[in-house]
Amino acid sequence: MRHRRRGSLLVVTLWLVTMLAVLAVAIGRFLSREVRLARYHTVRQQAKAFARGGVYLAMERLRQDAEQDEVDWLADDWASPTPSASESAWLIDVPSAGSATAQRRGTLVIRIIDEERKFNLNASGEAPADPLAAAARRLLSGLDVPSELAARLGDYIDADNEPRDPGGLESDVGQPPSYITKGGPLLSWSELLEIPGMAELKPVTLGALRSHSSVFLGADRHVNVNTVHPDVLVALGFSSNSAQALQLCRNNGTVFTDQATLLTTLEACLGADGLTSEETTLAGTYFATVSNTFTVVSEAVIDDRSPVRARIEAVIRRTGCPSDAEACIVAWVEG
Amino acid sequence: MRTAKGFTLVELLIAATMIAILFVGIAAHLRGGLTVWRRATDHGEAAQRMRVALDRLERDVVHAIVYDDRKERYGADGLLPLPGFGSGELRFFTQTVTRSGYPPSLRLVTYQCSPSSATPGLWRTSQAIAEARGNIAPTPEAMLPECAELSLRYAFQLSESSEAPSVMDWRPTWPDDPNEPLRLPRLVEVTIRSAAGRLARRIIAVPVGQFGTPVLPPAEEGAGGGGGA
Repeated sequence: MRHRRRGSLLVVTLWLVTMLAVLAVAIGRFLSREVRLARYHTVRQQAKAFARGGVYLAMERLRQDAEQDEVDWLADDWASPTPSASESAWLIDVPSAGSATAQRRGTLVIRIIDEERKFNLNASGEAPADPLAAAARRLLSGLDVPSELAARLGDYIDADNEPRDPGGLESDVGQPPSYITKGGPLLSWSELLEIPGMAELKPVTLGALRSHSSVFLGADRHVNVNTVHPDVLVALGFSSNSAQALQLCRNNGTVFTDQATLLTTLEACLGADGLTSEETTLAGTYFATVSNTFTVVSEAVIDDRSPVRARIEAVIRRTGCPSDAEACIVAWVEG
Repeated sequence: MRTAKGFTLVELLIAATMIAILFVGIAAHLRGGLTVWRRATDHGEAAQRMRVALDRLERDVVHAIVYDDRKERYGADGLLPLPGFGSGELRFFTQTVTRSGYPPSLRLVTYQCSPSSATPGLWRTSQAIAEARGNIAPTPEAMLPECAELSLRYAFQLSESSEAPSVMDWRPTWPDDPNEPLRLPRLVEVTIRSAAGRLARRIIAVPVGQFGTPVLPPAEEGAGGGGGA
């Protein structure tokens, strides 16, 4: 007779195998997540290090440029770094770890922007009747900044306690939290948001304000004629025709090399119509041919499973640095 | 004749006893492994919390700025609190990126490792300028509950000693001379000791520390593009 066995060994084995498999999957997923996080952290640190390196590379380039020539213009070494670069940016391949040349792992994009092609926003704090204060109002109006905010900006910077028209705002300690104006120049872009109403501006307006004006120019009020934005020229009091003619002239390769020949070159640029006497005065007062303050935007993108980015915006100054340093950093924001 | 099915009670008892002995043996071995696993996990989590706290502190220090370089603008009664870099606490102005497309917001932040609300730990506060002027007490944020000690050192330049010319001149506080102009250190060394005795140390570079107080070029007259105002 056949002896039937009904053991439970197979059932127990299957149960154990199932439990072990579930455990293995759970541990595997946990470890995989940890590895992904660690990898992202590492790649992010690498991207940040590359971006920081980009800023120091730009500093060195600016220092070398100052040694090579005394003029800063839009075809200069810092503005058009390499023939293969896209518009005024350096593109540097980031190699894989342990490989100096072989595999490309990402890209470092460095862009240098002349701050002295912009209007010195701290001039808004001049007395309302001052030509520079009027220029600031014109510029801000052209950028769709409401006139009330332009007046508040002037009140924030100036030392007096008289609200400007229209809609200016001086210190108000009536209701906490108090609003107290600075009574001094802006030293960073962050301070703009301290002025009531500025935070309600659209990002595009703030972006335009950033690209047309600067808070890093100290007491200097000059602009670099070789790089100045046409809108800034118009705000300063030049006619649109003169601003366009100047830009065309620059695009055709004209360089303003020194202060002595500046007016002659400018008159040759503007052709038969020439400069008005007011524009001649403006040019003599505000134009320079060199720049000392630059914004460096350095962005590293490392190709991992998904691109990992690190962006730094720094402001570099080539004069007025302590300890005889040839260049120094005056602003730094990591994104 | 009927075929015998199932197990006898004795067989079941023997099997149950064997399985129990087996499990007790396995558990004894597993307990050691679990203890190691738990310790490793605790250690890892503590290290992770320290790293997160140091990352946050680093982000604030890297973005440190001198908001106003005129000392007369600091003090009590509606004036700004003076920044302070002490041996055990920090108070400085920094920028915080909050909204894309907008400038960073300006904040006065403090860090200290001390009892607050009867709970020890590393505490961070953050205030808007108007809140700081108005002495409005900020809400502390617990960064690291197990922090037992925060030690800080600062460096601005290389040592002036001829014996160690390439060594940074580390100082316990910054600035150590109240008559010096307001400026930021170049390096901040942060050491955190946890209640369990673990140490975490990081040296943070302050990019604008070299500059600190902006040395603004004076307005020049006439040639050289010197300014009109």
